[in-house]
Amino acid sequence: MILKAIVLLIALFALQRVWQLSPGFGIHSKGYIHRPGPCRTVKPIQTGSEDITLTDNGIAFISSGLRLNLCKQLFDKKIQQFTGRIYKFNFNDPAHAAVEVALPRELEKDFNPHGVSHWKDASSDELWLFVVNHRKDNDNVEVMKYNHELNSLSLVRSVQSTMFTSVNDILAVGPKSFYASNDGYFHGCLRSLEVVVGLALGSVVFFDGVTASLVVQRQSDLNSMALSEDGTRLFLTKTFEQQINIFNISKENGNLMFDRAIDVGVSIDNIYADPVSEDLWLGAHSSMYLLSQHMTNLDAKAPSKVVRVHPLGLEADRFESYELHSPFGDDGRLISRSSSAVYYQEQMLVGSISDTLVFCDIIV
Amino acid sequence: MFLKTVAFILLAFLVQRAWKLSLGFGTSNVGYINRPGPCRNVAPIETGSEDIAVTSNGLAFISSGMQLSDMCSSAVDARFSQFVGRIYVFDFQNSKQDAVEVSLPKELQYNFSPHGIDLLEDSETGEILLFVVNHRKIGEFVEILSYQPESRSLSMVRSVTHELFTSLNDVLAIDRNSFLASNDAYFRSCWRILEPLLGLRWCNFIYFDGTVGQSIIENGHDFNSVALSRNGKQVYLTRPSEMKLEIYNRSKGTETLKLHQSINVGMAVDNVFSDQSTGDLWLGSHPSLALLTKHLSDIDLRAPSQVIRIQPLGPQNDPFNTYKLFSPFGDDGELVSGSSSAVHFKDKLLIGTVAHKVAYCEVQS
Repeated sequence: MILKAIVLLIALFALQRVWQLSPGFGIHSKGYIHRPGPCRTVKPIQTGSEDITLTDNGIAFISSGLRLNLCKQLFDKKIQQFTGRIYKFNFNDPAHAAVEVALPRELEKDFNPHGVSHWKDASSDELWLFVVNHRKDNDNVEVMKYNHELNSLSLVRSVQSTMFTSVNDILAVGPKSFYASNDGYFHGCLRSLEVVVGLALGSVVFFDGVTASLVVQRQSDLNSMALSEDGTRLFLTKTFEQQINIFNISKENGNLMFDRAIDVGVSIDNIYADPVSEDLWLGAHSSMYLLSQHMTNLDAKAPSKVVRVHPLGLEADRFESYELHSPFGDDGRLISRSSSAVYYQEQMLVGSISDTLVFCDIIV
Repeated sequence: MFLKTVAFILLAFLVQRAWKLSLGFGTSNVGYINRPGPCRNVAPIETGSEDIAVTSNGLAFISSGMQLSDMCSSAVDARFSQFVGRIYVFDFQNSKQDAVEVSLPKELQYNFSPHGIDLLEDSETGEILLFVVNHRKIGEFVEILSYQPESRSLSMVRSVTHELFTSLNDVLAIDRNSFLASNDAYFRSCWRILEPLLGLRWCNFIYFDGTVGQSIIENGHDFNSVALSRNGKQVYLTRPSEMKLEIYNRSKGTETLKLHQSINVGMAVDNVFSDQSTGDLWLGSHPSLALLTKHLSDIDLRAPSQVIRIQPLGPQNDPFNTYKLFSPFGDDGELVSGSSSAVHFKDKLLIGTVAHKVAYCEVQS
């Protein structure tokens, strides 16, 4: 009798998990092709452009060559050969290829970059780049200074913390301070279990330059972060739940207070907040099923999609109502597994986890 | 023990039905806005533009005002009974002009609930014959009408009904007297809801040769829209709940059809338009049948819209052997709700809906 009850409970739980995961999984989702204008790949990027950070004068820094340390046995062996790099692309000179940025010597042999962010000093024009680095032993946040003339990065500080369990993205809020999102707890193959069972082991850490504190805890499925134009709100993406969570930021201690959630209807990855229009640009995966197939075999194409969330609400609550646009879609042949999108003066860059980087002119 | 087995089988069956239905139902499908260029509504159409047929000169005939009330009135918005069935004409070559109402023959004036539409152009005389599915109060009809351009009116040529017309959806003209017609259900009344729920296959696809009507595909369900390939050798048929576009090889004369290929388009497809200049197939589609159903029960609720283009990349004799899927237009339902058809003419697009407006777009990207 008890055995039957237990079996039934497990079956119901499994059914509920399947139901919750299935919309994001998109078994039947297709990658429809549509463009906002002429699009092309940006040389020489072919081994990923997972995250992009964009300065206010149109310079994009792109992390490339990510080797995700999740169940390597399942993934295409080619991914382990990837070299971690940072590229620079100038929207003011889009015909030019992306240029590799020289890394600090300390990181040359230990660089596996994921999320990127930047901080620019308004008066001196100094630029700091913040990069999530999956080092051999730990996840670190590398804080680096960019040298314009030499196109090189020098290491200012390598931040480590026991609170960094599995860092995905980074959001700089000062030359020394940042938020880091943990997308889970386990590394390796145990991560699949974490996702399937829905364990809430993700979190967001705030580092004020000296100490780290947990500002969001016991969450699952956390991914990427962006900051509102006025610096008072933080946007956090949840991939399988297809949501953006909006938090108000406490000025005193950087704590986050949950405000509202926006349903985006597709599995979203990285988020970019356009400071001019306040639109949110997202790289998205219309089929997590095809994404996982692509991970095991890079030659199997996976669809890509860009979503733009356009706020319609008043000043006090900009995302109280909104429109969902999709300016770009691909079947995977131009770009597979789009993870990020940024916008600058009627142009767009679309990044991918392990594939190309795409540039589009926006004419529509 | 026996009771438990029965209960278990019933449960398994229901789960399987729910799974199959949910794929097309799109409970979480959002209508993302995307445009191929500038788009706007075409006045004065506001009560539907379910299907559109276009001449080689870019004259589009639009069926409007289908009163769904004969199809389970308790499930649809009461306002449908107020809809007036009309045919509009829109000129792609004079796109700034509004759509113009075409006057109907006297027999149809209070007897017109139009659905699928097709046309034939006589290359010598220039005569345009319209074939229109009409859900008359007394039954299902295909009206064959002749268009008089000077008076912008339609005159009745012939009215066809047949016992095999159970719930007509679309029509494909073969010649002046003959056509193919699709039934999307067996029941016209509320019982029709049982058909997808229980997986009943009681629909036929019919060939009417001018005198005799016969089933050329039997025991199907959900045959929706039909179109012809450029060379007349293939017939395209949409199956919304299975999200499929089926391609049949056609034997001209006998009109026997043999299933050649099935393309999973990834969402509930409605009407198909075969672009004679490119061979592309254009589909009005519904990202969410769940939201479409809600929209039909309350017209003020928006239903997302999407247009899909299937571009053939295969050889002449098997054009869709390989293909690409494009989606040049998407809407959250504010511009157009429940897109059921899309026709393309020289870099311009006209998008029709089940019960809402029409959109006209310039295709720039």
